[in-house]
Amino acid sequence: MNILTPFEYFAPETLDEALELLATKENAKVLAGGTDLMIQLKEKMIHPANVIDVTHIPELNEFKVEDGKGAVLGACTTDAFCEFSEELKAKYPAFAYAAGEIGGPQVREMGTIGGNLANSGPSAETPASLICYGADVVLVKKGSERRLPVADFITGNRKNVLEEGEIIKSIILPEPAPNTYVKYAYVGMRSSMEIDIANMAISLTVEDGTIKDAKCVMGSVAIRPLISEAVPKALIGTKVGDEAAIKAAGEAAQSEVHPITDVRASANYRVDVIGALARRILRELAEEING
Amino acid sequence: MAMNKMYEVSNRYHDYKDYTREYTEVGRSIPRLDGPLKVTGKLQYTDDLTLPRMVYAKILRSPHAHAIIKNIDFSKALELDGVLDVLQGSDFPIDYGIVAHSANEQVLARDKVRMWGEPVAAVCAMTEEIAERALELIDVEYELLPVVVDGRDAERMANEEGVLIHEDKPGNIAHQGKQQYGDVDAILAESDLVIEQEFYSSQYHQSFIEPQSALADYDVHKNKLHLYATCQVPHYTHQQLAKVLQMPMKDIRITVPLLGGGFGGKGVASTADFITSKFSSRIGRPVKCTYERSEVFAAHQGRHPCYMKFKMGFDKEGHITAVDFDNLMVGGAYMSWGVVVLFYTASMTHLPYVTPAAKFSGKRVYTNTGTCGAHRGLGGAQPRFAMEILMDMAAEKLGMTPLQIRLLNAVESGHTCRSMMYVPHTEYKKTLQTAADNCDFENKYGKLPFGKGIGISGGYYISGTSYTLYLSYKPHTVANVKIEGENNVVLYCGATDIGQGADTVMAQMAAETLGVRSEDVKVVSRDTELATFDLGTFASRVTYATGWAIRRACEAANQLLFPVAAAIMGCRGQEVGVKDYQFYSIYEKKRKNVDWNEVVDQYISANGPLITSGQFTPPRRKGIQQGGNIGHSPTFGFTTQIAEVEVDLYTGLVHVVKITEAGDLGQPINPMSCEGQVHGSIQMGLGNALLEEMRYADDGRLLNPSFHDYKLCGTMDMPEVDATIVESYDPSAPYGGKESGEGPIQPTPPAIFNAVYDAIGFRCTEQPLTQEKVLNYLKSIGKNL
Repeated sequence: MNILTPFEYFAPETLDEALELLATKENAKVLAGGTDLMIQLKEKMIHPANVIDVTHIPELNEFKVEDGKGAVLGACTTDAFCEFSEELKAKYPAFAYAAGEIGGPQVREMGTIGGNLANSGPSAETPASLICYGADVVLVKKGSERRLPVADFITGNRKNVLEEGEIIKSIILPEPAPNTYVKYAYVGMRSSMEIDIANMAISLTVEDGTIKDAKCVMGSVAIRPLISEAVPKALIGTKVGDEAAIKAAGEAAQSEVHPITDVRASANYRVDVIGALARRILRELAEEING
Repeated sequence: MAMNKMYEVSNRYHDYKDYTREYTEVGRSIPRLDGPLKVTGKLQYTDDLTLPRMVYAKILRSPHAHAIIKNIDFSKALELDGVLDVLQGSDFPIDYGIVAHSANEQVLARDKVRMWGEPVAAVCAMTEEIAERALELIDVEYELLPVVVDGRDAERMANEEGVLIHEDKPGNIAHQGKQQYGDVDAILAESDLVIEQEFYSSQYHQSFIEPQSALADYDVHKNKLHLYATCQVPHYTHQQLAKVLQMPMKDIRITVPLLGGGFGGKGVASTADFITSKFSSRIGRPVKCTYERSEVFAAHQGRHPCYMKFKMGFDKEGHITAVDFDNLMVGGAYMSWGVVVLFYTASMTHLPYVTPAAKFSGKRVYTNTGTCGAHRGLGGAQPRFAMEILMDMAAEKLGMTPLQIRLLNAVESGHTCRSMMYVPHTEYKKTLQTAADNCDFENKYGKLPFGKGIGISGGYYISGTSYTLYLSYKPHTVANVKIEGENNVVLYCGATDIGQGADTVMAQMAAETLGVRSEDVKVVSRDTELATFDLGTFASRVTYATGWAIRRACEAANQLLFPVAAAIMGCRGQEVGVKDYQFYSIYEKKRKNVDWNEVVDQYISANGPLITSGQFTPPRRKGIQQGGNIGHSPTFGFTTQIAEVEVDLYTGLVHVVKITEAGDLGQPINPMSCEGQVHGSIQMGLGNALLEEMRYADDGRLLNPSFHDYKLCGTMDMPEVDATIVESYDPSAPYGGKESGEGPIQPTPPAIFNAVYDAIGFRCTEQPLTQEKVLNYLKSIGKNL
C-alpha cells in the first residue's frame, strides 16, 4: 500500500510558524505521531495537499506536574511517556493506565495524547479517564486560543470542535479532588494491539464510606464518549461497595448505550459488557477504598 | 557396548550409532545457522531483492464475490506516464492448480469472478506507485450474480436457484467421496454408547509474516525465465509455470530466497508468480510484485471450514467401536488442495486411537469465498477438534477420566489401521502420561473452582506422504554431497526452508554421518537449478525424507573414505567410525585414528572429486482402496497438550494460563528448533481456538482482511508453556526423528475447549470460542458477574 497523494510537508519549529501555515495552507492535515494519519493516507481515506508536522513545537511538548496545581500535557506528549511517568501514575493512575493500553509499544512510542483526542475515534482509550478527571483541552489557532472541557471536545465519530486552522495545544488536568478515586477498564479480545469493544472510567468521591459524587464515561458504545447521567444517579448517596447499588449502576449504564454491531463484537455483547465493566470497576474501587 | 548386543540389534537398527544414540551433531540444540544474519536484517527475502532495470507489477482485484466480467477498459491506465504493460484473463488461457487433475484456478479471471479479491487484471509500471495509481484507472464492467457465502447453502442454491459457481460442477460440489471400513451402522447399533454430535471448525488464515512476492527475470535472448518467489513447493510451481506459460521446464529456474513463514499457504503457485513472469517475457525487464496484506487474505489458501457430523461408538469399557463421520467442507471459489484435504479429513479419524471400523462421507463444496488450501496440519485439525471433544464426552458418560479413555484407546507401535495405514512407531501413550503427570491433570480435572478448568487433547500428524500429487515413480527427494579441501562439505538438496529451520537441520544430519561440524556444512537448497530435486515443504516430510537422502549420500561418501582411512590407520574398512573430524577404529579409538582432512586429501589426490548422491522414496503399501492412499506416511509424530484456563466471569474472555505439552517426535534432530515448533503451534492454535475467523458479508466481501481486524494472539496472550520431548526413537526414521511441526497444532483448540467445559460446563462445539459465546452461556446459567 503506497501513499499516492502528493503533499507538501512542513515541520515548523515555532507555534507561530505552525499557526501561520495552518491559516494559509489549503487542505492541510496535522501530523503528530502519525499512528492514525499514516494509515488514513495509505488507505486513501484522506488526500491532503499539505501535511504539517507539529512535533518540533516546544509548546506542544510541554510537561508540567506541580503539587496542588494539577498537570499540563503538551498535545505531542507520547502515550508511552504518560504510561511511564511516575508523576502521572501517582496523581492520575487511571489516565496513565489507559495511555499504556493504547496499541502496542511501538504505537505508544509514536502516538500522542493530543492525537488520540483529535482522531476522535469512538473506541479511543484516553477520553473516558480524562473526562472523569475533569480535564480541559486548550485549542489554538492564529490569533486566538480557547479552553474547553474534554467532555465537550469530541462531538461524533471522528468529529470534534476543532475549526479550520486550529490545533490542540495542551491538555490541562486539574488537581484531583480529595477523596476521589478514578478507575478505567476496557474489554478487548486480546492483550495488545487492541481496539476496545467497550471501555469505561468511573470516578467516585467518597465521604465516610458514602458516595458523594460520581462520574461515569463510556467509550466504544456510542458515536462519542458517553457521559452517563444514570450511573451517578444510581450511586450517589449509596455506600461504597453496596451490591444493590453496583447492580443498579450496571443496569443504568446498559440503559444509556446504543452500540453498533461490527467485526469485533455484536451490539448485544457490548450492552452486556458495559454493565459488567461498571460492576467490575465499582467492586474493584470498593476494595481499594474499603481496604 | 557388548558386541553381541550390537549384532542382536543390527537387524532392527541401521547401525550401532542408531542403537546407542551416540550422536554428536544430531540432538544438538544449535541456533539457526542463518539466524544472526536474519535478525540483523542482512539476509534478503524476495521483496528485498532488486535487479538492474527492475519494474513493478500490481494486481487489480475484484470488489465483487460473484460477477460476470462484461468489459475491461485499460485505455486510461495505459495513458498514465510510466505504465508499461497490462494483462487480463485472456492472456492466460490455461488454468493451473497444485493438483494437476483437478486444476481450475485462473491466473486472471476470464469471463467471471468467483470470489472477492479475485485477480482480474495486472499492470506493470516503472514504479509501484504508478502501478497502484494505474489500477484505479482500469474500468471494469461487472454484472453481479447471486452469491453463495454459506457452505451449507451451496448445494441448495445450485439445485433450486441455479446458482452455479463453476458451470461444470453441478450442485456446486467440487468433489465428494465415501469410505467404509467395516459395517459401521451395525456396529454402532450394538455399541453400549454412541455419542452423536455436530461440530464446526472455522476458516482461518496462516498469517505468515512475509507476504507473497515474486521477481521474474526473463532472458529474451535465450528465452529463459528465472523466477525468485516466495514458494514452499518450488517443484510444483515449476511444473505449473511450464504449463501456464507453455515453456519447457528446462527453460525455467526457480530460486526461493528466504521465506518468512508459509504453513501451507505458500504451497501453491501465486498470481504474482505468473504475472511477473509474463510481464518480464513481454517487456524484457525484471518485474517484481509483492502482495499487500489484504491481498494475502484475498488469496487465502488457509484452513477449510468444516461442518462435521460425528457418531462415535464405544463399548462399556470405553473402547472405541466405530466412527461415522459426515463432513461438509467449504472450499471457497477454486479447487487448490481440495481433494487432498477432503480425504485427509477421512484418514485422520483412524488415529491416534484404535478404530476398528470407520465410515466417511464427505463433500467439498464451492462457495464465493476465499479459496481454502493447505494449512498447517491440513485435514487433521478439523476432525481432531471434533474427536477430542467426543472422547471427553464419552469419558464423562462412562465414568472415566479424559486421560483414562485416551490411554485405553491409544495406538501402539506396529499398529495397522482399518484403512491399512501403518504406524511403525509411536510413544503416544507416553506423551499422554507425561503431560498428565507434569501438570497433575488427574488431581485437577473436575476439581477446580468454578471459572477455572483443565482440558486434555491428543494429536498426531504424518511425517511425509507416500504418494506424489501426480503419477510418478521418481524419488521424492535427492541429496548430493561434495567433499573437497577447498570447500569442506557442500550439501545440495532442493528442500525448502520456510522458516522451520530445514537448512540447519539438513546440515546437522549431514554433519552427523560425515563426522564433521554442522556449522561447517554449506547447504545449497531452494533452487531448482543449483540444488537437487525435492517435492517441497508440506506434510511434515522434509526432515524425514531429506534425512534418508542425506544420510545415504553421506554414507556413500564414507564408503569411499573409510577404506582410505583404514589403510592409513591399519585396520579393516568396516571397523572405521568417524566423528569430530576424525576417522578412528571403533575397537581401538585412542591408538588408531586419523585426521578427517588428511583422509579427504588422500582420497581426492588418488581418485579425483568426491561427489556422492542419496535419494528417498517412501514405502508404498498393499491393499489400499477408496482413496485411502491419502494419509499414508512413512511414520507419524504424536503429541498431547493440556490446557489450563481461567474464564473471566464478567466478560467471557478465556485466559489460557498454561499449556503442558509432551511430544513424541522420535529423536529430535535439533531440540531447540522442535521446541520452537511447539511454541509456535500453540500460539497459532490459541488464535484458532479463541479469536480467528475470516468473516464475510452477505455479498461475499471479506470483512477482516487485515491484522487490524483479523485478530491473532500476540506474545502477551501466550500462556506459560511446559513442553517436554519424550524419550523416543523411531527405528524406521533416518536418525530416529519424526515430525514436530504439524502434530502440535492439532490438540491446542480441543484442549482449550475441553478446559472451558471443565471450568464452567459450557460444551462449545463451534469455533472460535469467542468471549461472546462464553458470556451468553454464563448468562444462561446465571453465573456471570
